[in-house]
Amino acid sequence: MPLSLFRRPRSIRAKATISLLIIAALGLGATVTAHRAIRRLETKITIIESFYELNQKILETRRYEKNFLLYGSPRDLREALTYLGTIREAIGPVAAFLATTGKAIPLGHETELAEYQDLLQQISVISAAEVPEEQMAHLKEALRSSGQALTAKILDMDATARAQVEREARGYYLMSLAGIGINALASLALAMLLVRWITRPLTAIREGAAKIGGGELTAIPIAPPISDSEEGEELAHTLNQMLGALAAKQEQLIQSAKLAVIGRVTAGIAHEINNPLNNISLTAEVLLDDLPNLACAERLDMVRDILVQADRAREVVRHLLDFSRACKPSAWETVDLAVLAGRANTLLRNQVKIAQLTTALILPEEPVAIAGNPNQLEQVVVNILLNAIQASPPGGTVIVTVGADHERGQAWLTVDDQGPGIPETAQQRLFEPFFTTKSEGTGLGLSVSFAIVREHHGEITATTRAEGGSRFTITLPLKLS
Amino acid sequence: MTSETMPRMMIIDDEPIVGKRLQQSFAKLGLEVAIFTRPEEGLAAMAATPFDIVVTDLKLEGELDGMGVLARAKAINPAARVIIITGYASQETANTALREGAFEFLAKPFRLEEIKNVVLRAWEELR
Repeated sequence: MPLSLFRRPRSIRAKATISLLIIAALGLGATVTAHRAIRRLETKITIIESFYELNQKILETRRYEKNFLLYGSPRDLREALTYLGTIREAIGPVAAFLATTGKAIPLGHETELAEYQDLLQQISVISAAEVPEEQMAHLKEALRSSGQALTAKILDMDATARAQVEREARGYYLMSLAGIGINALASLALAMLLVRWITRPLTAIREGAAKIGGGELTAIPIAPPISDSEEGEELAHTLNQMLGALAAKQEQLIQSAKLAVIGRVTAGIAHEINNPLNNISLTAEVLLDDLPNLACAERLDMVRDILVQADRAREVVRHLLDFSRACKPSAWETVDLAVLAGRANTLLRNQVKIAQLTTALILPEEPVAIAGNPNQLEQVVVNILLNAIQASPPGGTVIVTVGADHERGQAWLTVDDQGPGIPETAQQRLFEPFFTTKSEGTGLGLSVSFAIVREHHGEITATTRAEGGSRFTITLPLKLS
Repeated sequence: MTSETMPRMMIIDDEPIVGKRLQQSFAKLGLEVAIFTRPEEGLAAMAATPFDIVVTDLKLEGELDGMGVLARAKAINPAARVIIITGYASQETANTALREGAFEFLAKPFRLEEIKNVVLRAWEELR
């Protein structure tokens, strides 16, 4: 493809410069061609003018010849001979001129000129001497016809030259018209090429950005046609950097929201760790106090208690750490939504107890497989569950249900509480960042949950149930096995 | 109650180990110790034969919590000394418990010595 030659310049500036230079060169070429055509036309006009002069001289010569024939004055004959000399002189440059032009005009005037001159000289010589009347008349007749032939020849040359000049002038005219046409076409093609060069990378960047918006990509791929343009590549690079920074900020926000959740579960966690710790310390102290009096089986029993309680505390800490660990946003894997619900419930087990509530988990027997970041999704479930716990009055029940709609390809998780439901005024703004109805809330929990679920191509909604209390529903696309 | 009779003590904690260990410890001091993991059972036993010293966890499964136990125990035996223990202690809950008539408020994890001292103080007062 010959265009590849023009693809070499990468910056818009270079492309524009080259295009403008080419257009300027085309313009200059047209001007030079036009100038040359004018110069050549000038030359032709000079030739035509010299033929005109030649014509005048021939007519002048013929006038003296006619005078001589009428009045027989030898003076007229001499004048005619002089004029013939000037014709010879003038015809030289004209012939040379004609030779320089592209197509030489055949002259072939020599014979006629020589014959005419010869006759003139003969008559001038004879007229001095006495010649018979008959011979003189014959010579005069010959002179007239020779003059006519010479005139005809010169006029013919003049006409041929004129026709030639006219033809050439028309040629120049057509040539300049073609030049204008070619210039216009070339400029148009170049302008279109330039627009394509400039817009194609931009269009590709726009398409890339749209794909990022749709979640198909995480960065604009720097490949042709973007990489064909220096500015396009820089723009895409800058946009990618900005996207990276945004992703990092998003990650920070998710982490902050998670820390806020952890802050809210401290009571439960403290309770859950303090209980085994208390059991361990009590058991150890009783052992220490009373070791000699204890039966061997009892001692073993007590040591086992200590180990079991230590495991219990370790388990709580592990859950908390699992939950608080920041996970790379791209770390997607197959997640069983039912397992996730169970884990969130375990983490909040004591929170539920402290709030004097009970939780009911209604899970399907089959795993509900979805694709996603388990850590972030658990954060969403923990957050919603925690909200339900905080909204519920003592003695209430929080119901977590997980299910799958295989026809629609959706997995869902609902959390029902027996709280006051969602106030009308809060319904619209529930998932807005920094919107909170709690005095100590940050307003990040639900907005971050919303963002996480959206990133997983899912939805999160909140409604007040007809029988009272609120229901939060998360729907996520089922992972096709 | 006379100084000759040993005080009767009840421990309610849904952590069975707490009851088991405290029972071991206080039985050695000569107290009669009954242990329960559910508050309803403990209160039923108390309604039958009142306890003098009640040790109860604050957070309990079911409808009654430690504060409920405190109120019920005081209703059954106004002289009862109620000691509240909890794994999630705050100054606020401690103050509330003491205002409601708790004898002492102990945060888990506590040392055996600590609870022994509290129980002995209660015993002393009962005498």
